[in-house]
Amino acid sequence: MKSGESAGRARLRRLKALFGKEFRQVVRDPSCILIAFVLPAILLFLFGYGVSLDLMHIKVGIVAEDSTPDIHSLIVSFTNSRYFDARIVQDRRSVESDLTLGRIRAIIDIPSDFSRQTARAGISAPIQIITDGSEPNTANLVAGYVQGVFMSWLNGQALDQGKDFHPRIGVQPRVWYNQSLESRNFLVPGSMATILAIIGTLLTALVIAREWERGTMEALMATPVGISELLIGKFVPYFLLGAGSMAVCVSLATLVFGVPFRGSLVLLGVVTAAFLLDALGLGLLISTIAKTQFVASQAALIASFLPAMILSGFIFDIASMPLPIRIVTYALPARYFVSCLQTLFLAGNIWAVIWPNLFAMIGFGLIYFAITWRKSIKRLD
Amino acid sequence: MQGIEGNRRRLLAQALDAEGVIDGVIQGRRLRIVVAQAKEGAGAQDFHLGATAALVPVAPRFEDAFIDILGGSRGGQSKLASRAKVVKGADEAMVEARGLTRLFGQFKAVNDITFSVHRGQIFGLLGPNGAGKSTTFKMLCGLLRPSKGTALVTGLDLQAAPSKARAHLGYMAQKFSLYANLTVRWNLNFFSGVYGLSGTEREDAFRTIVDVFDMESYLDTPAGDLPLGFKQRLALGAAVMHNPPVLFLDEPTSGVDPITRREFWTHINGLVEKGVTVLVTTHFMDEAEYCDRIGLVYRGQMIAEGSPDALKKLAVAEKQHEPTLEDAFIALVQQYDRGKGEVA
Repeated sequence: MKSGESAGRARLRRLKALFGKEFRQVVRDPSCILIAFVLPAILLFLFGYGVSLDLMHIKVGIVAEDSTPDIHSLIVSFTNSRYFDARIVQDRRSVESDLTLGRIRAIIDIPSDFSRQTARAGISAPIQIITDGSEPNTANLVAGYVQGVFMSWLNGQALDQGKDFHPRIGVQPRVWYNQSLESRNFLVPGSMATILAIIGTLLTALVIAREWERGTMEALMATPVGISELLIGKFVPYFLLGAGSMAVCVSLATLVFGVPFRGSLVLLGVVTAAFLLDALGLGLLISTIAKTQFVASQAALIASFLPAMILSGFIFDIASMPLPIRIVTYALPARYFVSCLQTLFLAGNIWAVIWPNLFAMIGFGLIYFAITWRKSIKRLD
Repeated sequence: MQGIEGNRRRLLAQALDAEGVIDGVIQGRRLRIVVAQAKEGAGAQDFHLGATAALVPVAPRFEDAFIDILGGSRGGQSKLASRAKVVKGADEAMVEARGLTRLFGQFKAVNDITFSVHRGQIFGLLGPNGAGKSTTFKMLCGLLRPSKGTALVTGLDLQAAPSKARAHLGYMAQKFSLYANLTVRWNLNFFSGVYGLSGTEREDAFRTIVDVFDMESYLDTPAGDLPLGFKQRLALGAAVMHNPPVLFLDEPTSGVDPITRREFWTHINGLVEKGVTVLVTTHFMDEAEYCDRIGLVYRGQMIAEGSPDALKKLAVAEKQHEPTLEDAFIALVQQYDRGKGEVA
């Protein structure tokens, strides 16, 4: 270790020994393999199959106080729609309790003078929709769907009767990027951010805390291994493990869930690497501060999984959050990753979206590592 | 055995190799050896102890019988030491503490401790629990930053050049600190790697440890599943793989049986003969006798320092004519407390 060259070689040997040891420990520890490969699969299936924001087969009660041909055809349009699962009754009172108990989402009341009202021109929508406001999102959606069905029924009626039905403005809806409007297509890519956040942070949060807890850090710190080597020695193996988890996720998403992938795999690799920098960096930081593995794992869940789940925009739209919370989301690397993932999967290589997100993620990673480095030095005191 | 001349460590090794010797330990300037019944009445010369040595019979101890029943000494030569490289160099300070002070908040765990250990010496840190010897120890091997003062190993400041200085020391922690879920093989591979060994050097070091400590059959056993004696052997092995000129042993023999303790000290003595400098903490008074010099740490201060015999002499006047090291230890602590009382 006299010349600079041999000092470099000794450093390389130390790193090699650290990598080798870490891999051995991972291989010998089934919980690591479970966290890295089985947990992502389970979470992806949960998000892919379990969580759906699409409203289909909404249970509604239709109150038809009369039974004219008009009313009959209107009821048929509701029952034919894939959005509704309707129960038809004569009396409103028999479905009111169902709404209260949450068994149905809405009551569609077709009054007895419905036919008379529609026969008179110029009168609009003589039906009543009662929705369950305790779930506002669903209530809004249901009201919208009912109006949609009713409008198209009116349209059909007018054509049948040879009347001219001319709305002033014609709306032709067209959806880009996720044509079928399937929520799975954006939930599955978004969930990968949550999955990587939890895996990356949890795995690394445990490793340094474990060295402290088991006393091995003492033996390690009495060797020539420096703090930077220690951190690199922890980072690289778990980075590779995280990349493996991501590969599992992407394969499952495209092959099993049939989510389209329109960007480039190389770019996906780059943004994943940037996000892993954040997730692992946060994990190492927690690991350095926490004294025990238990505390570290709790902190990892709270600091990475929960915010990634709630505030990353993967389920709840960030734009509709109140301003203070919107500001908080900017401090969350997962938000940038979700944006990248949804863009790459559904839209393609949109550089204007990718660049700022990529830089934000790399920036956070560097900050985490800088703090970890400082804390590690402090901890030895 | 009194009046021995020359190197007591080498003489002990010779005595332990002699026929009929069951056990032997160092007691300050003297050697205490246990001989078999068949050899009773033999002279000092029968055990190759030099012309001036004289045998003085003493009463047997319980431990002597224990060692005898277990088969006695395993010889005085350390295979580990015989394969170790000689540490060359002049008689200079290898470990130095200069005014080491460590504060934990307002509490002074270590207060201005200064000493130096020269090449090929064993220095023992003795003291009650919580006296500050572990804290001193940790500062000397770079595990803890001193609040004040300097810690030097082979002349290198542990704060200024930690990695370089640490490459020159081997450390055996008090608590088992190897990777419990990794096999013996991987632990040894790992530690030889982090000490920068490679190629044949690495393989030789590995073979040496495995041979010396009889690890062959345990190679694929997770270190955590080893019997305690082997855990300690492995820890010592991992600490000396890179032939460090300075060895730090924090209570190396706590919890191991007397035979393994003898074995440990045979290795330590052997390494010291090769020029290795050893700093050791211990609770065992009989182990402290192996040290060339002892520092007595009490309430964060070094209250006495000297050879075991010199420390014993300090306590002679107190009560006994021939105090043991333990008597000396207690007397010195009491003296210190009284002194404090007067001041206060």
